[in-house]
Amino acid sequence: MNEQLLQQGFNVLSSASVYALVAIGLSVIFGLSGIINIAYGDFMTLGAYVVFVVAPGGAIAFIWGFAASALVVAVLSIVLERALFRWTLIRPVNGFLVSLGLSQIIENGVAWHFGQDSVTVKPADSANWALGGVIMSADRVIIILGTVALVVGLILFLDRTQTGTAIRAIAADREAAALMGIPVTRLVTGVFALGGLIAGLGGGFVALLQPPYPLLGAELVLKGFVVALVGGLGSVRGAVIGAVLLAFIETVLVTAGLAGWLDVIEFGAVILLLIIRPQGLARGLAHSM
Amino acid sequence: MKVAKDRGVLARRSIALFAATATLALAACSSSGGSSSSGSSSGGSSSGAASGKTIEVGMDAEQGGALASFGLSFLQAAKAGVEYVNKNGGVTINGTKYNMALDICNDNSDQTQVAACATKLVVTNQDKFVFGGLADFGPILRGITEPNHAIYFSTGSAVAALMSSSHYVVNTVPSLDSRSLMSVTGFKKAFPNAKTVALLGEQDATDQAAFAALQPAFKQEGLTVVGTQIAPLDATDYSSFLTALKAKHPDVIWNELAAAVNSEPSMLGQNGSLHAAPVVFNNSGSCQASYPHTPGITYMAETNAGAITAGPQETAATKDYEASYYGLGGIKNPDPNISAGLYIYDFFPILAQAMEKAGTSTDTTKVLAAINSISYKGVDGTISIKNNQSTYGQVLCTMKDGNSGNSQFEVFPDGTTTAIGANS
Repeated sequence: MNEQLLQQGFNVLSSASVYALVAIGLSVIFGLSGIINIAYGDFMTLGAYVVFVVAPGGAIAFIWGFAASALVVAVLSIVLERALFRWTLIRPVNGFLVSLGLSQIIENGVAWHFGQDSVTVKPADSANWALGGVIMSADRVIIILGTVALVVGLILFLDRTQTGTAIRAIAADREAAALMGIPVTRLVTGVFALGGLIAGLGGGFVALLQPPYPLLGAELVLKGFVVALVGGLGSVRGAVIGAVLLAFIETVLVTAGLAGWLDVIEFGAVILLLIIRPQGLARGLAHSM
Repeated sequence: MKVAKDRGVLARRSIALFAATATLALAACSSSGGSSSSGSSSGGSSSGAASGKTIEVGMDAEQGGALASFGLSFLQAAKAGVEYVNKNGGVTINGTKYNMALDICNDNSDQTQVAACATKLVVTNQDKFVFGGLADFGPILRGITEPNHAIYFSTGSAVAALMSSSHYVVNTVPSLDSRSLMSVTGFKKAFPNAKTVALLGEQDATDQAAFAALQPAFKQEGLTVVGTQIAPLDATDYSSFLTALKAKHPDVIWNELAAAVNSEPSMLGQNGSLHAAPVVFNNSGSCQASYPHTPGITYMAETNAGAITAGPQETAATKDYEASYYGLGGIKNPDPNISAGLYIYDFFPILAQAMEKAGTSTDTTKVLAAINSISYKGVDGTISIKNNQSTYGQVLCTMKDGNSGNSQFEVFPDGTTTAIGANS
């Protein structure tokens, strides 16, 4: 029984890592632009497919796959921000609608080019370590450690750097920030690039966890929204807390044989939480990361 | 047990709620017939079933969207089936020879477009025979074929559950009870020492029905169910489910997750490191699939088809089917879902024979009666149809360590099997 619990604990960490990556990207972009980017999950899908193209054989080539994935999705995000999202900043609901269209285009484009079936990306490291009865695949360890590094780096960047402070100032009051001489437009573009970079890396991590397929991101983005809402939209720390909480609840329900009630309980709890604490568990970008 | 079920469709409906604008635009496009015709389609002809020298057969195909991987295979098999009929003399009714043609409508795996396609095929084009409409789309199609007395050749469990209240539906796959028994019988032939089984499925009616149908078969074959896990439709990581099942020490994980929408490959990959059981049985699986090469895990697949599609046991008819299937072009070779095409391929010549026997291509009551009187030897073996329900053998295969090999064998409705391959 203890082995099962420990194994499930490890499973929680790896699932939470993926949820956190989706939620953080969504959260940061929302915090700054007010746009709910439904296509964000599809950006992750693109990242996963970039890894498939660059490093289908896995192993050490995965490093190049990650780098290419982060770069490609970040550049794409910049292009999309300049070409589309910039014009929707005044009315974020338009940004939401733009992201809906983008989501459909990306999903169908990927399906058209790569086919509807999943593609296989071989593991970065196929090793499995057994520790106290817990089987830890090297790939899942990479996902967990990679996510931790990314989250810590992001928090330090937003909390400790001048640019991070400026981003938080924009989130608090865009007009006031502009009057203070902060280059709002450039930083919004920068945050989209940051979100793209996270999506690219996240897509790479997801490719380690499961074979990429065109609708992968659509599956993930709903969980990402739940996590972001629970954690508090705009909060990186909140996204991490929400991700761990969601993965923990899911795993407990599965272990208890209540998986059939998972969505009911999960989404019921989210509704309840948002009634009691509409701002989520943590404060948003404007206050602190 | 499922036949090309659509776990993803429901899950993606949530996304579709957000995507209402795009979906409505697509639906409007479909309603106007903009996406309906391609390939061997006779186009948007409204000439009726037996106009000129052509009998049009409606095909509601998932050429895009979540179910396209299976939908395209079904469409390819339908084209091959029509080609087979025409190459073998077409359909001769009362001395007049007709060619068969497909009237294709692409529903993009979208339920609104399924309804639009069904209306176009049955009401506008007056097609008297309709194929396609996977999984939960089947009942939508049936809702339009049934009152219009058009015969619907269905492959899905969702329609199978409505057979008792349907008059013009022909179920082209053996019944759930029959398939369950053949699956479990085949499994025990391959793994006679197995005693315990753990079930893994999804939160949908298809899997619930499958699990219920499997119980008597497990009991008959001396297998005890030690655990059951039902994953939500939007699950992507199955490690917690597998860990919970592993704790029950099953001899086999009986997997109902859908290959069509990629939950099966995700789970199989994740099980590769967790080793929840030494054997994973994939219902509605593929013997051509790329299962993970995992030492210590044997994969078993039940294809729902009645033809062995690789190795020395492959028949000449099966080879002809494959040649036609790939010869038509437009689909990758090899296609892991080629065996799924066998759910419908033989039913085109069956339909042709039935029309000839009934002496009509428009009186569906007479054609249906003829269908129920035919015993047809096709690629799927001998197919008999009674009360609109077809019966034929089922092919299973084993892949040790995830390696494909000469391991396919067939279980027949009477419980007998062909030789089990060396790789099992």
